[in-house]
Amino acid sequence: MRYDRVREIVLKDLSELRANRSTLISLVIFPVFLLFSAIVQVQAAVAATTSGGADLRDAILGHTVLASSLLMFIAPLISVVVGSTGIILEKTNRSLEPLLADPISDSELLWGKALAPLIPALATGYVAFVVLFVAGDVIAWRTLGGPLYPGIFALYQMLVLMTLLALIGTFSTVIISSRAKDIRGAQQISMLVVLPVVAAAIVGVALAGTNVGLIGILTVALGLIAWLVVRIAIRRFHRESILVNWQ
Amino acid sequence: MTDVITATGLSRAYGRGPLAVDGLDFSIRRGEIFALLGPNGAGKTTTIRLIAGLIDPTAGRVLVNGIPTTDRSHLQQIHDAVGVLPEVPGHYESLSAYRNLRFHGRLHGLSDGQIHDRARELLGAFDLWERRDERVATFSKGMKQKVALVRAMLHAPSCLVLDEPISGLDPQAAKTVRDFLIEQRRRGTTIVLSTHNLDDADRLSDRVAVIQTRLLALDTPSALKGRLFQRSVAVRLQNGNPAVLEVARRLPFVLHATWEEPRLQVRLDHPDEDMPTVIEALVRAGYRIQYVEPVSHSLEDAYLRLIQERGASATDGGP
Repeated sequence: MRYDRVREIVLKDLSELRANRSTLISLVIFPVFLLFSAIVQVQAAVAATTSGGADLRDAILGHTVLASSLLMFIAPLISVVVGSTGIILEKTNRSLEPLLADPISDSELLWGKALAPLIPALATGYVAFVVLFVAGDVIAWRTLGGPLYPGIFALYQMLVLMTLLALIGTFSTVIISSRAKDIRGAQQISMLVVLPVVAAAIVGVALAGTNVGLIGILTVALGLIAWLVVRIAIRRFHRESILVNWQ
Repeated sequence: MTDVITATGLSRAYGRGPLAVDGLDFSIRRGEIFALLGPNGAGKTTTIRLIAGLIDPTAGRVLVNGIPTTDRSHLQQIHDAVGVLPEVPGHYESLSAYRNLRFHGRLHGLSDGQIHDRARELLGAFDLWERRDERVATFSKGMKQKVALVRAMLHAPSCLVLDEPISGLDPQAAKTVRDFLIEQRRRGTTIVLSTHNLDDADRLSDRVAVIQTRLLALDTPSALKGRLFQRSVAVRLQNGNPAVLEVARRLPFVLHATWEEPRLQVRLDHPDEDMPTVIEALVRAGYRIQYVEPVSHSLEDAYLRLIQERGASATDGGP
């Protein structure tokens, strides 16, 4: 696999995304809304938690699990929107045939089409978490006399759980979009697949609490799902079927 | 001339459907324009895709410069050797013409400098260099087709594979594209084109292959016409009448004669040798000849006859 070709596909898809204002606007509005909700929850948790002694920080963090969990939606949902757009546009533009006439392999095309949504999705998700960390620290500083974030659990949500969910979202979208006819249909079916997984992960986080064993099981389960989805995408992604089915 | 493309027993089916192409055998020589003719659904686009290595054959094979198109280890050589113009230009409409070209150029491993120089040369040939930074969505159909041709030529392939390159273009744009193709052939590029426009195929191509799932005929346009139609000569008479048929039919070498006021039409095996005798007989019989001209058949006539014959043989249960 040649990474320069993968990079070209990613850059091209991102250029198309930049030119698609309606998709861009929806990509900005959605994370901003979730981030605002999360910050409001942190503000409420800090205001409500006035006692707790040495465990005050943990008490506040315990009340803000949902806030940071909300942000885990960002990366998988952006990957669904951007991923389906990138693939369906190849169909509607009928640009797949000239693309396959270039010397690219199936795996280069697959990874290009997967990384193009994954990179902005994760970047946006990470930025949202960092903003939450900074805002949370500013809000809680007077109460705690120190920073609220980043706790190990929030970092785990950001770096492990959201990344796995984004992988699942991206590769599910690649599989679904390569068989769908239009962007809306691809996004709706992808959401139907991805949202329950994200919701289950958030419920799992809430149930696991600080239990390291349960968190480990949750991580392994999500890891297995991600591995399975990536495997299916690789197995089903052949230029023959792509060209015949993507028209 | 060496063969650039060789198809042997080339067959392709989609899923469990019938064969789209069945047992095609042909070779395409370096520097020739090779036209694929056939009705809708005859397998032209499938053949183009097979030659370009976009799909694999169900049976048989295609060699591009001696390399099987199914050989993924030589993907770069095959795709560098062939430039493809699909039936639909297939641009990224929200991007500029130059951004489209840069994307495909980079996938072929061209440097930004090479892409710039090639794009300038080729877009310039179509008077599109000044509009390179405009979004393709704002272009007319003809302009999009020209940009697609530039894209196919960008990496300087030795073979161009073009699916309906002139379809839907206005006469001026069509002429520009025709001239471009002739110029590319002059420079030694092999060109394979599928077309419904038989005039273009007649004018442009060195050889034509008529296909309808199977290969019906493969030859130069003139040889194909000559093979299907014996040569006829028309004689316009000032004082002609149906009786002139008797004069013509008395001559042993006249294969067939028809009279349609004011023209006598005779079919001959060897008109160059026998026509003076026909003229002499007509003059002797008192006819005044205004002029004599060979009856020409178009590639369209030959094509339609082949397709009709194929239809008739299929109805008779033939192959």
